[in-house]
Amino acid sequence: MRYCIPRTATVVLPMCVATLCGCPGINPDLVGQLGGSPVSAINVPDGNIVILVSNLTPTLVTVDVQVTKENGGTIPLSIEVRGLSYSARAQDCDVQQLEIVQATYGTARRPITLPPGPLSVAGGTGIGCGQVLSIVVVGTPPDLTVQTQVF
Amino acid sequence: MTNATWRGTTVRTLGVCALLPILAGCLNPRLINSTSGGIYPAVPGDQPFVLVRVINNTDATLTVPVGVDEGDGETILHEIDQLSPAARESAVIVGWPVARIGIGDLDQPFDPVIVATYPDGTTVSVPYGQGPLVAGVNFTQGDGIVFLFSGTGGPASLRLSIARVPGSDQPTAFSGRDTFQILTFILAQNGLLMETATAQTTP
Repeated sequence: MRYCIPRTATVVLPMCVATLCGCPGINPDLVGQLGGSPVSAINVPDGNIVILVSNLTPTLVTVDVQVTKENGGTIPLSIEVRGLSYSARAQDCDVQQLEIVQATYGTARRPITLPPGPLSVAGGTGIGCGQVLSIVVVGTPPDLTVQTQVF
Repeated sequence: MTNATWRGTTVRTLGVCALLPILAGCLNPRLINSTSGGIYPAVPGDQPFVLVRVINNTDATLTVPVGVDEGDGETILHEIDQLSPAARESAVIVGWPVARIGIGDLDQPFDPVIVATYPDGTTVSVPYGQGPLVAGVNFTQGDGIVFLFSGTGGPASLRLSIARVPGSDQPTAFSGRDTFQILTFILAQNGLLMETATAQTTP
């Protein structure tokens, strides 16, 4: 599968991956002395909020979900799913809101009519840590529908 | 092997494990914090998935295409796009069985597929630069894989560390929702669970 690099001014740098930088046995305290940023620790998530897109149609579908974190950071998820398959994403539990922005089908991304009403779920009240936002696409093109449920 | 205890789960830093040659000797033992808990699962554990988490601890907005080989030799890309430092993390859940996991085309590790855009507008493209993680060697069903990008000193400081969170060491019972068991149940109800996967389907 080919990956399209955006048309920007790009500079290809040999990123320093740990395995190529003098490993094995690198002293973690040495990282800073080499000019890199020392990696001290990462916070392990308390759990996950999962966004599951199940495609029960024979065609490719793409569901765009906007994730807003509690600190205001956003992540645009464009979840592409082959026919009769699924794709699942997970976020840490510090989610403020999940919003289904649009759903499309086919490589030309023809729109799928979304159900009426709000298509966002609020973190903490609409969806909580450990839960799954299930988005199911059913039907036969062009009559496709989207069903959502929080488990 | 260096271990950190995390919610009663042993997190193995791959740098010390002789069974994980690709990542040997390259992980900071303090990479993973120790927490207490057991409320929700952090990784799939006894469910037929692998969790691949990308963490952005840089000052750039990243685009990271997670590459997955489901066993047919082809790479399926799950792109994590526009991951800002504020948003910090996002993860892909891959159904088991899976053969290989990495970043970008798994057979073209030196293609510059990771894109980092810095606040001043500078955009750099960098390669993953190594072979993919292999099932049965570097990870197995139920594990979590973490791709941690760090470096806040511009493009030259960009670094990648990789960690594995063994699912086998995670508690099997939780006081809160068992997220991945719920996921298995939903997929089974929709007829999308792979027949070769073994899992509990009772929520």
